[in-house]
Amino acid sequence: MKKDQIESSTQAKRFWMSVEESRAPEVFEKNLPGEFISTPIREGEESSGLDRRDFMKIMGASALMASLAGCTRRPVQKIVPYVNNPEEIIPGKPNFYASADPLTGYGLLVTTREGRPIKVDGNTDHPVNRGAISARDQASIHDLYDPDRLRNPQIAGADASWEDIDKAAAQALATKDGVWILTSSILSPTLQSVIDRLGYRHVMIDSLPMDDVLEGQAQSYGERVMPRYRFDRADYIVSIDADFLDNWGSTVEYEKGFSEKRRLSGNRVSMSKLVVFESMMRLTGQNADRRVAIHPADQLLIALSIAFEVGRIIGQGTPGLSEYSPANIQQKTGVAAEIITEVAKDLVRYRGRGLIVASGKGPQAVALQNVVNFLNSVLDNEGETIDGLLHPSNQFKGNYASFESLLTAIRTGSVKTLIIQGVNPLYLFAESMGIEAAIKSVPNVFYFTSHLDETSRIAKYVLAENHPLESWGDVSPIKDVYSIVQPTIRSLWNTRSLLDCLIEWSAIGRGQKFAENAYEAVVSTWKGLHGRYSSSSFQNWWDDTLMSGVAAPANLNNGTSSRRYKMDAFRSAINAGKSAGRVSGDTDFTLLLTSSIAFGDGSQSNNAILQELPDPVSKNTWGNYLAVSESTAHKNGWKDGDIVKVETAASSVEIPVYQQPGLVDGLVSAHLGYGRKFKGRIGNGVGVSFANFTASATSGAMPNWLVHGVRITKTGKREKIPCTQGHHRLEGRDIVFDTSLEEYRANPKAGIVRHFPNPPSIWSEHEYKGYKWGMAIDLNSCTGCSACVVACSVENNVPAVGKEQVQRGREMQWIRIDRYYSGDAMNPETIYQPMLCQHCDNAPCETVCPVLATTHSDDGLNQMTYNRCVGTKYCSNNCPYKVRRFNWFENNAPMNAPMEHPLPLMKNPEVTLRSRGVMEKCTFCVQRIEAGKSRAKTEGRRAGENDIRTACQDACASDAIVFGDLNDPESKVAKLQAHGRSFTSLEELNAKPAITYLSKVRNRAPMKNADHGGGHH
Amino acid sequence: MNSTTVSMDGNAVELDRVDLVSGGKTYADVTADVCRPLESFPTKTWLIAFGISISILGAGLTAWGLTLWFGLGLWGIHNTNAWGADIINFVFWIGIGHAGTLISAVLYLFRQNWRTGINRAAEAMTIFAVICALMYPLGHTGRPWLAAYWLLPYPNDMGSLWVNFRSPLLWDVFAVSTYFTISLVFWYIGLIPDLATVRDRAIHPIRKKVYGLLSMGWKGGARHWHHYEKAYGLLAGLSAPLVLSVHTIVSFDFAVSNLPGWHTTIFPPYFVIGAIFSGFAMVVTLMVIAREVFSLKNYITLNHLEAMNKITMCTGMLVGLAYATEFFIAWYSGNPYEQYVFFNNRALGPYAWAYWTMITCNSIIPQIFWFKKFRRNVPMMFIVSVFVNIGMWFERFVIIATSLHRDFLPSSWDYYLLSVTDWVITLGSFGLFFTLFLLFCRFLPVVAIAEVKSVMKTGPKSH
Repeated sequence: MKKDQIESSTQAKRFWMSVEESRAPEVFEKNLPGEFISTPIREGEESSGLDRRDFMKIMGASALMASLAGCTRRPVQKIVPYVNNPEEIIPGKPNFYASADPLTGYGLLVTTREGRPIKVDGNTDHPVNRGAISARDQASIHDLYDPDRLRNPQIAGADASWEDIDKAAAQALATKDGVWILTSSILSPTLQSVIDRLGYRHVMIDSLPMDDVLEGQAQSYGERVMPRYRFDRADYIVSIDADFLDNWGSTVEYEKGFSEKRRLSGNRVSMSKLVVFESMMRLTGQNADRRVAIHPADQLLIALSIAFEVGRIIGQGTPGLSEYSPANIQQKTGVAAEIITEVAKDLVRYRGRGLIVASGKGPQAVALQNVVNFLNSVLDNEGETIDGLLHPSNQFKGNYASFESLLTAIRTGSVKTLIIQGVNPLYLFAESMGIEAAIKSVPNVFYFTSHLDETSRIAKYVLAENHPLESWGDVSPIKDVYSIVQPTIRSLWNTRSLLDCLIEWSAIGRGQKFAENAYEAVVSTWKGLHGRYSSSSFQNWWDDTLMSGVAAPANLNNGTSSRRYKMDAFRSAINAGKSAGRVSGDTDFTLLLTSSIAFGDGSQSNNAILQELPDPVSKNTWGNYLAVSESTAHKNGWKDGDIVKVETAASSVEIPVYQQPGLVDGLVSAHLGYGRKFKGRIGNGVGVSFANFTASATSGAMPNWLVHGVRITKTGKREKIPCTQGHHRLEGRDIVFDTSLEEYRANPKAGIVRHFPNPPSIWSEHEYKGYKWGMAIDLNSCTGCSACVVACSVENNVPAVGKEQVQRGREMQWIRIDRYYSGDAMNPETIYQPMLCQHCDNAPCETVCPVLATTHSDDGLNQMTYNRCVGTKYCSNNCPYKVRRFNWFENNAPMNAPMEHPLPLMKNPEVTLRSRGVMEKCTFCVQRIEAGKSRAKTEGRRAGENDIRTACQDACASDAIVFGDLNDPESKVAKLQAHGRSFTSLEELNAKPAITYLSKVRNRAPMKNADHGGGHH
Repeated sequence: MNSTTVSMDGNAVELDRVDLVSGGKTYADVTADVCRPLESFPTKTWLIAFGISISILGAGLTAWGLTLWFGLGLWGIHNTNAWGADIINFVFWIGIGHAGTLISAVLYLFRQNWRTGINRAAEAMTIFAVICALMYPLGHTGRPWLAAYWLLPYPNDMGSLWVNFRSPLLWDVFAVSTYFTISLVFWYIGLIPDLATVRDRAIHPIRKKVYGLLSMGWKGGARHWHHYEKAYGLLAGLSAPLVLSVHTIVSFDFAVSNLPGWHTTIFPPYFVIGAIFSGFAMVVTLMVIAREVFSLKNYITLNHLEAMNKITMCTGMLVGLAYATEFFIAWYSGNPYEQYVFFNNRALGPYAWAYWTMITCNSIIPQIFWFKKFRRNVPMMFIVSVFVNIGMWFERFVIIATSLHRDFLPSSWDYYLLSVTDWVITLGSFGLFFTLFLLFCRFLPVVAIAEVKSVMKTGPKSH
């Protein structure tokens, strides 16, 4: 460069540098380079043309590039930007779509990122689930990305194309005679109308049957209908084994309504009362104000006894009922007469505002429903808290009697083609039912499934099924409420939905399809609905409904109705009562099969996040267990984890024992839905299946969940139960508080013990000038349902770690539901405490980290800097709440192998995947906080309650979790934290948590000697 | 040896002629005896012992390698007990390391001349124990490749990224690294005259070279001795407070936390005493072996061992006092969490077996040394010293495992046991320790030749 300048200057010749130059420029110029300006740059340049520095640079660069090329083999990956940018998609911003769950009919809100759904929540505009969904629905997003999903349809075990399937269907469906279709309950009006128009024989069964309720309704009121139970209207609730907060009926809807009736916010001092007669300890009993442990064989006797007492009080006797007097029943069942009397009295007192629900087990199940219906009718609850007329539920339509007729038809050879969807008969039914042989004898079986499972192995045509998030459809959970199921992603694999196929096949024998495709079919159904809901144009209404997610009448939740009770039903129930009760002298055990909120019927068993979700009651994960009472275990010398052999004449299984308080002696219980043989790599072989126990001479085809005459013997083998909470008592520690309603009315702070209120601090307190995030969790609302746990894991990419790691105490969930028992050891009271990072102001974790990886933010968050963490784990040791979670292994890439496709797609891109050796914990969904803050900022205002909601808060059906800004005195959270029931856990440690809990209030008489432990004052 | 020689002011008292070295050795004998293992082909005993040690070390290193490759999940620790065998072993080895410094520095400053027979080996033991200990603070982190330098306040261009001086783990980094450095230098300086002796005796040229380099040109002149004594005294003075500070700061790892069972002010003295206790026991274990294997009975005499045993018993009782004090304070504080940890949990809880193992080994078994017969009985003291170290290992187990496994919220209570990997790593650290010690016995003078000579009385008994 310098040379150029000099050259140009010599050419110009305008100026000279010295006398020599002016006299003899050529000589000067020749000598110039060597004279004074000897720099490294100049040296040698004339000879080579490449100077030393450039040579060094090029050599260095080529060595580097050569070594890079040698070391890393870069895969060829093409990055293609959107050619035509979709209007809605802005990279980095989530989109939200309203949809609905085809199984429950609940409205959903699906979060998508760059075109892929990553989170499912409840649609707050939906009048049935009102923004909440269950743990299973929360986890369903992971089913979508399950690598074990079936990717192509199969014919006779080999991958096939849909054209082949369609050809086969054309033959099999040439005539509609001999064509049967077996499905789970269908809530979709479009799908139902298509099936109806096709004219196939249609059988629906529910894997978690509600046939007893449906049959009872039919016998009591004439119509086989699933009523809509209005827990939001009930002030006094009696449940006989109806586990409505756990896994019975429309649980999310019930939980929402139930919790509203019990919320003691502001100055409210009244709440509903729940009395539960329960066999297996489940969530409903744990949330009861009074739980009575019963034997399931005694259900009918107890109901009849209540009926007797109610009749006596209102002066309306029924012949034959007198033998069910409380005194007699006490003798037979051991349930104290005064409990029955009290319940009857209260039922009468709360006439028209009470609700009795029951879930029958065994042969008297329908009779039980008839008694309950009688009580509800007599007490004028029918029509008020039970809606069987205005907007009854569509969620349960199954009928095992019609399934029996299908079996008969198969056996007589009249079934030529069977289409199965939503049901896995070979897993659901006992082997002794002969289902396998029956289905094998059908010439053409079209089986829709997401995985190669038990039934697909014998089906000729296995049809790879869409995930609901990939399909068009619609649902109607209750009468007059409709939602559109809209796909949020194109099918990941070569799959179709049942509706897609039936539309495609509707041309067979007709020449023309019912509609062009599923979408058109849905649109045409909705054109029929249009007039009832809107006066605007169809397109406008359709667009609006797609956006809002629901079409419902305005006054949906108002109004009452009434049906006439048929006394015959009650009379037959009284007769049935004669054969009810335990078999006297029976030394064998009674086995009660149940389903869990986390796992349901086991159809989501390949979902690791659900496998690892602790059962809300036992806190056990990854497999089922045999719940027995403590005294039964003691008498037989069983310990937790002892593997026993459970057998009847027909079948036997081996399963670990777990001592569960709240069971009567002689009763054992286990969850269904486990023991899958063929589902996927995660679900196979977890737990044991009890399907073979469910065959019964009296229940027909319906799986019988109450098995008598069970022998149990110890095998001598042991297994550590993968339990996330091994200790269940508070040990007299003041961590959570409860009180009775009466005491609460007298003093809102009742029950709360403060050992050392407002202790002094040696730290200078933090100053929070802008926001100060905090949370309030109402223990009176929390039912323990654990939807928040799943929601948190999905939102924050929290991995499931597997059975062995849970056994070793290394579960990763950021929020857990601590469950403590108190009182009577045999039938204790329960309290739930959602436990997550408390975001302490004086956080013990922050001071001990040697590398400052965990620090305090200006708005009160306890932050975790993953990049900086070296994993000393001291923070976890010093955390009194033990909410920190360590990555013991590379959880996102097990065995240091890359993540399997398509799992990376399901991760939330806003949340870092943590590598091994790093500590993690709840962040208060900091990604949502930041999004909310920036949204508010662009709009020039302060972020409010609706800008920021944490994932757990979104998921909570009982609205127990409230998050917000404590610096805003008008915020909900600030008001709740100032409430009389508010307390912080372990206050005396002076960690100053940002989370306060609100004490639990039980609607019962105060305890005589308060169970407050410690005793050290 | 009688009481006069071990009295605190040994210098002032007229030394009688009970020799610190027995057997009527001459100076030449001392040199020859001590140098013999260095200059002869290793004995069969040594080869067998070395083979076993290095195999165990190999297994330990394999376990470390697996841990590094797969993650800390191979260990028994979990969400509730986030520390386990790693920190137990760390504290255990740091404790062992204390006796060396105490014997060389503190006893030197107090002019306890009997220390000369054992100080070299005790110092070596310190160095090796600290090496064993140092594996853990680094290796127990989730990402040791980063912890190796992120725990140091090194200048960086990442803005305010700095270490947390409030964290006791950081104090630990400084305390232990200081201790290691000072101990190593102190030991090395003490070795120089003896290295020169070995150099002078060496025949093989390589041997000459190596020992020549190591002895740093030591000529044994008066000037050299003058500087040597100065340096040695200064380093002894520097090391002495470290005996107190290192384990005090190690105890802060626990005492500064808020965990019941850890959060106690008694921890610094309790840890220091425990460290001396275990360190002396380990010295006895090693000395008993060394004097047998290398025929050093005349240099490490029964008198030495008896003195060691007295200190062992004394510190053992102090440790017992600490145990009792913890219980008293737990009761006296009225703090239910504290009471639960000590009464319900440690003494009577699921870990009662560990607690009573600790009490038996540390507080009951050493009482046998009230009897002179047992104090001077070599097999007996060997057994007791091994029990003491088992007990002291369990003390750390009790402190770490039982306090963590049941902390504030009963919901997170769990149980901790060592995994197979933990056991192999634990044994592996013993393998490392003995491998290093055996190498030391082969290549360096086990007894401080120059120092022993200084306390020997040769020639006729009268002046």
